[in-house]
Amino acid sequence: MRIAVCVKWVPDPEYPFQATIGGVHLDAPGLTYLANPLDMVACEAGVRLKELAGGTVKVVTVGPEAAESALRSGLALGADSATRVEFEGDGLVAGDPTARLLAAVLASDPPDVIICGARSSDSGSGTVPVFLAERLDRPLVTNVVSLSGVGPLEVERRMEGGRRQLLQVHPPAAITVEESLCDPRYPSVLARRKADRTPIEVFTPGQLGVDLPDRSVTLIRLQGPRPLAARLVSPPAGLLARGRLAFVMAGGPDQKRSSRRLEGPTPLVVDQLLAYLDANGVTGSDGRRR
Amino acid sequence: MTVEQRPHTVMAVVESGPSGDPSPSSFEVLGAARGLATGLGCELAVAFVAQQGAPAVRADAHQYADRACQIAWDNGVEMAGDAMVEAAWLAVQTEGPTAVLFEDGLSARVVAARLAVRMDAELVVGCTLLKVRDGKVQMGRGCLSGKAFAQLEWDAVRPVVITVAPGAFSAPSPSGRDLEIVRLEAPASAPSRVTVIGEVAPAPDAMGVTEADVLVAGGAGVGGAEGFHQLVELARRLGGTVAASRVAVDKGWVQSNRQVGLTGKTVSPRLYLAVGISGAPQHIAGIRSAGKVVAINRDPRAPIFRVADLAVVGDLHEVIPALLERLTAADERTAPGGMES
Ligand SMILES: Cc1cc2nc3c(=O)[nH]c(=O)nc-3n(C[C@H](O)[C@H](O)[C@H](O)COP(=O)(O)OP(=O)(O)OC[C@H]3O[C@@H](n4cnc5c(N)ncnc54)[C@H](O)[C@@H]3O)c2cc1C
Repeated sequence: MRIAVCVKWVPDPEYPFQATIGGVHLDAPGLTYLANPLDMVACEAGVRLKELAGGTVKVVTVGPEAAESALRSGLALGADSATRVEFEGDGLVAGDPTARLLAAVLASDPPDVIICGARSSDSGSGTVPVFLAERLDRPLVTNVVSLSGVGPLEVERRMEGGRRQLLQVHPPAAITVEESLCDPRYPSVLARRKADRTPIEVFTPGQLGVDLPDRSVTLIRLQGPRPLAARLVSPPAGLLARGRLAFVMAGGPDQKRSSRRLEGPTPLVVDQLLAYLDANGVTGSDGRRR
Repeated sequence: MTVEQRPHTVMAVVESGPSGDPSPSSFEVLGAARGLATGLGCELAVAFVAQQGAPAVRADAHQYADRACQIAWDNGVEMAGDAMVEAAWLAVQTEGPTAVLFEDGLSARVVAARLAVRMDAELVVGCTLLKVRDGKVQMGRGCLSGKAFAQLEWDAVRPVVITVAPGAFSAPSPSGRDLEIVRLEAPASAPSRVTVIGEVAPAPDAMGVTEADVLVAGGAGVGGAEGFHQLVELARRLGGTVAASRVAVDKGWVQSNRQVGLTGKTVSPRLYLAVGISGAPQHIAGIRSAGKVVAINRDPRAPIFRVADLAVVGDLHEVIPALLERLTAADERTAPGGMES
């Protein structure tokens, strides 16, 4: 079985990003970049599939030369070969060009199974695998939490409302994986050394014959997190300039738009709490989950 | 980058549920779409999509748009995603919108992304900010696991598909005008290449905190591992799993991979139920991208209430057992069978 795993090179999700006057910076001091954690779960799943069914695992990324470190992490987990497509673009809005380039490079040497992380830790959209499967006209199963079988792949995927669905899909297919599918192994020193020596195949968009369209959506600014309220908050008048600045940079108070308060006798409180859960689709109208 | 061409239509695609009622958050999608349409000076069309045989949409639902259509599909439920794509695609071909909005969700993202490829459109998912200023369309969404907010700009040259995060926009007011709802039938989608074997309800411990739709999180106030058993039971009934504050993890009541916060996981469930958690900034840091937050705390001044959509002031040792009892009673009233039936 020929398996391809798509890997994104992302800013370390554990990094304590701080908003400054210029916003949040992706070149902040001490910030390192690494392979998207869910893509490492995808690599591990690919390598396990290979161990079960035989075959090869290829890791693929779209990004600058430095992104090859993400490929090496995949190689260290047991992937056999690695490919990078040269691309310099903002990783937070590059889903569309990334998928076009991935589709081109994978179409030139089609794998049986494509495995992707369910989403990246930086953009968090989870749309590249969908774009990719659509462009390659492959069936896609998203949010896979368990994987077995090889003829048809037998997968369990998570759905809204905490439900899980058991599915079968025949290769050629694509899947996206969640954290609970498996834990990436800890690579040995030997595996790392071997990964560092593995040559990486590089393509440019031109070599793949991909002409990327002009973008219509661009990233203007990256700022500190903001509360859900989509309105402007003005800092309390009493604050000094420094405090006002900190207030605005932090996106205003951590306050939701409208917060309801329930107090009183427990049965009444529980009544209203249930009604709230109901209205938000967590329980059925009869109090059972949907 | 100003809007050059005059776009004509913004379209909202709304699923009308099994009762014919669009969900409350669908109205937020209509609100977001109305705001965009007004800002761009164009009309708002709504496409209600539903399975064949579903009841007609709520009588006044169409009053929120300038044009309305209802699209039925005729496939099995297991292919709802494929059918939704066909239905939305039909609506797009009918209306030729410059922007198409959906309610954000796991399956909606897939539908939106597939539609975007067909339309050769841009895609923005989980949008929490959408406004037109000086002829420019600004959008925003959380990123970096909730640690940052990305401000985007759309130049309206290529069309855009947007999924709207629940809770970020208000519902529009109805026009009071009655519209004719045009009824269309979606072409059957190609046979599914994925076979559905069945559905299972997972146990809470088989679900990670980053993938759960509902999180029942406990803190120091829960008082012990015993109390957490009740939270696990509650999580199971709500179809979610259990999370915890650092104190609860440090005390050994819960495994450390369930800790939420600065030094734990960043989570984005649809519902975060914080039980006996004070709401320290280091904890809040992990729930910034959560949907609705409900907090149960006996201290009326607990900081967690400042980020809660619903603040329940009370003793968790009374509220949680009472809640479980009510859920059990409701279970017994209805016929057994569960969701697989
Ligand atoms: C560098 C650093 C990193 C940290 N990272 C994290 C992190 O990742 N995650 C995290 O959670 N914390 C983190 N912390 C710790 C954080 O500061 C708080 O100490 C912690 O979140 C408090 O946990 P708690 O809310 O469970 O406990 P407490 O603050 O003790 O709150 C318990 C709450 O329960 C309520 N309560 C008690 N009994 C009842 C009852 N019977 N009914 C109802 N309510 C009741 C109380 O009113 C109180 O509000 C970090 C701290 C530091 C310094």
